[in-house]
Amino acid sequence: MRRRRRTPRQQAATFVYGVLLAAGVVVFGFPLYWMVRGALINQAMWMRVPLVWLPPLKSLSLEAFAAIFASEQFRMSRVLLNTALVAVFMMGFNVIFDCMAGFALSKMRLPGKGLVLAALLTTIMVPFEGMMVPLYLTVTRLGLADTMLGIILPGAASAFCIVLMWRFFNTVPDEIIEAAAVDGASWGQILFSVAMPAAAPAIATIAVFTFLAGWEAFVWPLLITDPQSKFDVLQKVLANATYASMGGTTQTEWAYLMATGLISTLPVLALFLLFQRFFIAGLTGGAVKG
Amino acid sequence: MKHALVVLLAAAAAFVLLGRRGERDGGDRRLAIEFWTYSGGGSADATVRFWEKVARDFERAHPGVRVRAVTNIAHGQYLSVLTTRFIGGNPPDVFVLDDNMTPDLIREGLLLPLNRFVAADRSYHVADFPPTMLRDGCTGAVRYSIPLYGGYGCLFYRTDLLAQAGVAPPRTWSELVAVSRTLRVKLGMEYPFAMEPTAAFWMMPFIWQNGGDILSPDHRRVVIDTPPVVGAIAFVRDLMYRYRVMDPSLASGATLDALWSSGRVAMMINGGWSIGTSDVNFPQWRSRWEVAPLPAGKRDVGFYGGQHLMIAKASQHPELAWRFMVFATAPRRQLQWSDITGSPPSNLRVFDMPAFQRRHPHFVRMREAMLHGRNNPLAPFFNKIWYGRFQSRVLDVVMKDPRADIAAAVRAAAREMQAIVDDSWTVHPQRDGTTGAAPSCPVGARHARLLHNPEVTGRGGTRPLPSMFVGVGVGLPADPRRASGDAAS
Amino acid sequence: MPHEPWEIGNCPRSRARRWHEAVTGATFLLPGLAIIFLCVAIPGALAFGLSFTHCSRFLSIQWAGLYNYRKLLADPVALKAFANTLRYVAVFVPLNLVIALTISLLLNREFRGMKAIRSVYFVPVAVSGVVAISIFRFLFDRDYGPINAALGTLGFEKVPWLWSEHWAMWAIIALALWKSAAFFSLILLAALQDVSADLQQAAVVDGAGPVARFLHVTLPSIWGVLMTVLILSSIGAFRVFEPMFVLTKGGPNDATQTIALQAYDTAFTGGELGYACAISFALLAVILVVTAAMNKLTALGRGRRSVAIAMERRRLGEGGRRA
Repeated sequence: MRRRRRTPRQQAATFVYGVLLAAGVVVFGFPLYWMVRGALINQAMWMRVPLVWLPPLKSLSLEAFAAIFASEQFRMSRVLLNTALVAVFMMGFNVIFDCMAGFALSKMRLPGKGLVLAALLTTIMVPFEGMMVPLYLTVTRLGLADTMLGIILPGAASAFCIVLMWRFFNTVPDEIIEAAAVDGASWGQILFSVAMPAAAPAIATIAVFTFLAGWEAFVWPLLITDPQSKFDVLQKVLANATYASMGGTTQTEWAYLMATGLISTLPVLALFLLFQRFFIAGLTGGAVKG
Repeated sequence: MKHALVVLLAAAAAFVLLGRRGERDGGDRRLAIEFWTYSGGGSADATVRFWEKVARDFERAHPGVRVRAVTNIAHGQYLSVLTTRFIGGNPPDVFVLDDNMTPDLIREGLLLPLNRFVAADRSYHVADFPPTMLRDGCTGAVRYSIPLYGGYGCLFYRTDLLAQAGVAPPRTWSELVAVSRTLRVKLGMEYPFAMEPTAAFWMMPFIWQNGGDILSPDHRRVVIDTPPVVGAIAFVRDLMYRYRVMDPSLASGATLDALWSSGRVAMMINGGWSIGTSDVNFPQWRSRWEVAPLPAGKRDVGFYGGQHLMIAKASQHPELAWRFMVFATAPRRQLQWSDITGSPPSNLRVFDMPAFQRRHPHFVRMREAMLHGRNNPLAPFFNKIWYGRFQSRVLDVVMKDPRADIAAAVRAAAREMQAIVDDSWTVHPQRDGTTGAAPSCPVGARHARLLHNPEVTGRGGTRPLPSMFVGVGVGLPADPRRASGDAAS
Repeated sequence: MPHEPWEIGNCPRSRARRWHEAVTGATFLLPGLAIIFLCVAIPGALAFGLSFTHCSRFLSIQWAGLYNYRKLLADPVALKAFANTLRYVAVFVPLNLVIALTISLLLNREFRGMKAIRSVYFVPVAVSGVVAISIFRFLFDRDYGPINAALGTLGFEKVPWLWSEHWAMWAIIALALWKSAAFFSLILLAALQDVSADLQQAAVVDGAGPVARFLHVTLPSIWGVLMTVLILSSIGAFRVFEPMFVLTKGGPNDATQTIALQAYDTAFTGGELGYACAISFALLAVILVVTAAMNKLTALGRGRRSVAIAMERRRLGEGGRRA
């Protein structure tokens, strides 16, 4: 179709569209800019009135990043290690346990499978905030307060991911499983050598989803660890520092908080760039496509 | 090869996951006790330094014993973390706790009674400690904790300014107003007096001094809806708006420290815990300030809040824990406490030491206040009703607005507070361990001598004591009615 | 040999093989189920059970019957928390839906540079919850924040946002929307891209304007996803906890107190675990009821919509054939 000259109405519509789009870019991008700017300036510049929207290049410095590693309040090297461990363990445990469970529910004959599935679907509905107090009591009673295992345990398996794997395995044809069985494979071998490779996209989704959940975990690690614990995670440290800064009489430079935030965001950004497809699928939990 | 990798990975995982929070005592064959306290946090904190020193000295004095001191927990989270340990089944052996948190633990039966230790241990002299602090560690005839530290409310005043105006520090409420007015007239100070008017904490001594009270002796009724209480609140507000001797901006966020530092006030009410750090925080007033007891109302009642030391019932080494507590509260150690933390000691013997008198001249003045100090009501719900309801419903409202109806606010607050108290009694019916049973643990006859010593009472001779102290000091059971100060004095 | 292969075809499996399969299956299920049982089922049951008891912070328990629930109905702070939460949901959910839909419609064009623009819109998703909260704390700072600076240049008064009883909740809603709308727009965008281009084209041929196209083709096609977004964001809004916890801890004078936060406060500060469990269970119940109600409503809606789509398709199909 030949392109017609645009009517004033269409021009106006395009203009409005452009304005809205640009407004959105500003609204969604500005906070990120603010974080980066904040991490690179010193407290004096933070508190300069009137506000310096674009600080001059020569006033920027990386000392906030150095300081949070040295500071007793942030202990970034230890905290980063803890957070990484939590994220990796959560991902590892979830991938293994949820796959096993999803596979068993999908491909194996078990009495009461329907009941188990119904129960799992019900537990998805239970909000964390509704049971965080009794969960804290349970885990503490087990002697797991302020331990790495205590932080990871509630997140080591996810009903949501099990259901995801179940649905995915349902789409994997039974013939593949049977073929392996005919070749003399045990159930374990079938799972690890045949089923999981076939489910690679779903596993990648779960891996990203649970890694992010572990990396960004906040409420549970806060509840279960002592203050100033040697098992502190990033979000807890940042949250405490943010609340402390609300009072207005804190000694901590605000740049330290922004630097912590930036360090927390970088791995997520990296994951996003590398594994964009799985990232999106992981975030939406497969809600996008069926 | 793949299997070996998996096994290695699993072993590493197990190692990380099951690592325990502290140092493993596996290879250490010494007896170990765990001691807990809270602090401002950070290894440079004075409290932390003090307790580290005590722990190391104790270990040196008792070879074969290891003390693990956990000192870096912030005050706001201390009870929570302690609770976690109790729930998890591994509480510390000996720990410090604020007076008003102790009832919770007593009620649950988590503390070890100390009577047998006190009776058997010659080196621990109960009479070395202020009677009121001793009473607070005691429920009925059972002693659950021993005094560690008490911070007493005092009047801080600028000696140079008062001398310049030719006035002595005020001893009563009316003198407070008069002295402030004189300072204003003679020195041109607009607001010579300062305190925190919206702090429920500081309202307590005013209420008691005016003859009022907060809770009934059995801790079942809230009794703030009375003229003396309303009068006390009105007096503090009048200081700002009627007598105009106190800066009204103190009710909306101005800080005491800023005013004292700028020299715009000549007198302020603050805690004895600020004495030791005053010269550090305000070097400009060095040797130009002094402390005095709080000005008296109809009654002469001081005010303190303190910390006690106690032993968990579940402790495996109660004897060692007791010895640690005695070690930490011995006179020499208490001198170190004052030296390192700048806080006053609780062991009265320390006041006789020349080194102490030399290094801490201001504390000597505080001794008098220590004998007249009264503590918060030690009820488990007290924080919630007082620093929660009363502060937000009454003080936050009436102090900013000179025309707000105090009586109405108090009445409304009293209703809410009573609901909370009733609820607490329903939820924990017979196990409130701090009421009904008046403290009757023996405290020694020496207190009688102390209490009548003019040097101790300070202002030229014995002052009639509030009736609440009758009975304490000679080992007789105190009359519960008189113990609350409700009786006519 | 414990492991025996299946036999394809019509041979019935032996009992031993079925037993072995069941046992292996149970073993596979065991770790995941055990964790979920321990960490979801038991706490859920405890929330229910403990709510009928008085439980001190040191776990001494006494039967209380309905005391905690009666107390809940009479507790002004808890009721304020419920009211705050309801107001939050009433404001947040519709705004979230509208903004997410708008964004996804905006982003549903293809032109050079759109990929880059999309990645800016997805920034909130890459930033974790606490980091977003921290950034917004500074954006909303009374004296040094850019929002107040901008207001100042426009001639308005500086607003004490998170420190003011009146504005604190709005600031938090803004923060939550920033994060949530971007996330849901992701989902809606993918759903929009799924809408059949043929259907759209047929509608254009039919002479439908953009608004009509949106209402009769786009909206019905994404209705299912839209309803999912609605339900998910409602659940999330009822559970809201983190922003209030990190920034205001219930806010100036309980202005930002919410149900989840109240449960936390009652348990850890107040030490009344029975009452905290009653609040927790009330939250659970509210969410279940709302979710069930929404499911019912959307099922009805979907039914009607599917019929509409089917009719429309048939009509367009006939039109296409004719053309």
